[in-house]
Amino acid sequence: MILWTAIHLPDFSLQVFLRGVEQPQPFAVTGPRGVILACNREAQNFGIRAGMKLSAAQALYPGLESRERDLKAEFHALSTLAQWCGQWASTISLAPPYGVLVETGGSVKFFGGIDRLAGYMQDGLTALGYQSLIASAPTAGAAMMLARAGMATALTDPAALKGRLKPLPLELLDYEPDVLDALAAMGVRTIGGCLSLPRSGLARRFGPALVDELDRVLGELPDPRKPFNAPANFASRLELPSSVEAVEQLVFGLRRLVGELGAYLAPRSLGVTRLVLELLHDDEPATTLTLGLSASRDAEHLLKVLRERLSRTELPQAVIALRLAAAETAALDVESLSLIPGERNTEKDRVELIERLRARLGDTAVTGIEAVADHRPERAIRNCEPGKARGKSASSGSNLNRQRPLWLLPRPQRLHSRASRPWLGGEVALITGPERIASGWWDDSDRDADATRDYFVARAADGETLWIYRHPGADNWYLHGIFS
Amino acid sequence: MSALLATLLNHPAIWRGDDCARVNDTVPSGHLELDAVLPGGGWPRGALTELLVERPGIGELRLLLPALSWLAREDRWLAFIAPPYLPYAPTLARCGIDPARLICVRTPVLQEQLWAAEQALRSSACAAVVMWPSQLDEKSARRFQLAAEEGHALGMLYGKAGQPRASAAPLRLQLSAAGDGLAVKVLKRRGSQVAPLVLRSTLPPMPHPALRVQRHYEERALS
Repeated sequence: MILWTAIHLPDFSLQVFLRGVEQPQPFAVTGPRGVILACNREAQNFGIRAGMKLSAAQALYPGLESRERDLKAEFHALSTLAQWCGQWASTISLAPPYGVLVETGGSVKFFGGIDRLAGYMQDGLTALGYQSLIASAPTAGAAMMLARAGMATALTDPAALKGRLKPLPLELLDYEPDVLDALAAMGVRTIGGCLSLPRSGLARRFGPALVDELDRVLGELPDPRKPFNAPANFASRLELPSSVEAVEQLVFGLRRLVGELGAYLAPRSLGVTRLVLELLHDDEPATTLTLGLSASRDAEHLLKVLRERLSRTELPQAVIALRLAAAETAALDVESLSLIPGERNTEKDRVELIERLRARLGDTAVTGIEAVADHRPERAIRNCEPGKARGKSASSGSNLNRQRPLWLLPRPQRLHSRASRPWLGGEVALITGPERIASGWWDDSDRDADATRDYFVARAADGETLWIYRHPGADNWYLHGIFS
Repeated sequence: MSALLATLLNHPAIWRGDDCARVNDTVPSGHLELDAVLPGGGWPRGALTELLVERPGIGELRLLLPALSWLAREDRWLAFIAPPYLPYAPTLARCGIDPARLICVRTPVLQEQLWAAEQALRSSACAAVVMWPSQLDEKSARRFQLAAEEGHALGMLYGKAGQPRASAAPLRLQLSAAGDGLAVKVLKRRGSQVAPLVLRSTLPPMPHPALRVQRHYEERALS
């Protein structure tokens, strides 16, 4: 069974700008010569209508925000939508300027019926910020006509097609407006009226293309559609109706983009590993944020991480558009769901915690620490990726009986000394030692480091246990660790 | 006392003022004298514990090592938030704490320290969160307590002794040096007051602390 589902986006040129804001202000999209093409309900409340001059509209409401219709942005958004539709079916076709066609005949059973599928689509589109009209029919043209007419129906019986289309106004037909105007001037206003005219006369008067178009809509001629080839990578752009300076105001729009990203990743079993968010400005070069992630497609998590990262980003200028791209992706298995309710997926929890902390504090602020097999204390530890530390075995061998502190000072700290004995707010008593540790004279990078040290465990007057050293034969004492 | 009354009094939701409260989920501290005075016989999970230290370096971290080494066996992080120095991984490994379990969050900004601590407590990804914030107010302590409940984490908060203030932490200890050992005074617990105690301490290396905890669990199971 062939079934086409048409998605018609009635306010597309408006929503391309408005879907990124939570509470839109009166806003209009203008065409050539400053004529308003579309305006939102907030603007209509002030009496502003499509077809008005922008100057007239601004007289009604001086604060009216407007943008020129952006065909490029619209086409880009439509392509992203077609890519988004990839989660419902494999054959998709663009129907510019405001429509997408999805061949759902093969997948309708999987989604539990066409009505349910149309419901999923509508909800998904609402979450992306688009108002949509969805209709299905055995031919692409008929589905699109029904959608444009606002008839949210699913017509599966080809025999019933003609009857359903007859009362529809002729202007819904995807054909040259001049011809349709001429027909209207003749008093032919519906599909049915057009069909009742003699075919040969109609073809002679308006050319055979009109008759063929009607035949295609009715399924009497094949209607091949150019399939949409989804780009291999994900990148989506979101325009803002007016420039935004506060980072918090970007989060709403970001949610839309992350939703699109999720719909790209899920059917491909992918998770994003490198995410690039560009904040576009008027004059300044775009602010680019790059996030390294462990493969994830959890929208809430991605949003949290992006939000933390944004919160510590300084904007050089107000933002006019957002662009989100998945620079690198990796295969992500289907999330394993726990059978025991309430049981947490700790692996996921751990990864998400690290990513959230790093997004806000920076990568270097969150580390693991690992033990390295080196007898020099400074070299025996090193920062590493969280959870990747080796070194459970590094403490084997001769060091096992040596006393080592829990804390190491990043740099040895010079102690006062009195009569060549260490002093820290009182006399420091030596408990054990010396233990001689020679530095790595063989190690180039260590050449300037002091050569040999004698370490002692010592106790300060007020009870702290310290790890201190001096160079053999020298009187200067250094604090290097604390036995906390 | 009638059997009925005894059953009633044994109910975990009831505790008597002269007694130590029953806290169900605890991690043995690895110090028997200390466990005896801690409600539930150990550090409470899903709660904040404040450790007020007279002076850093007296053994305040050593006090936690047995519990941390026990928790390191879980599939969760041990988080050190704003540690004062570098944790010396070989020593930790020797005390039974797998360094691969450890994450360190270092930031000089107090606000970020508090934020990170709360995230770690709340996330359920951490078995224990040990915090050394440069400063703390009552509001943050309350938030930590709630976050620890949510994430079921052992929240260990180091602070300076000698600044009396209210705190939402159900358990507060004051630690001071006592010769070789560590003097522990229970400032607040669910239950009656107890006399201060002194824990003998040994410098690391110690006998493997996880083993001590395990022994303790076995003893508890037997009794």
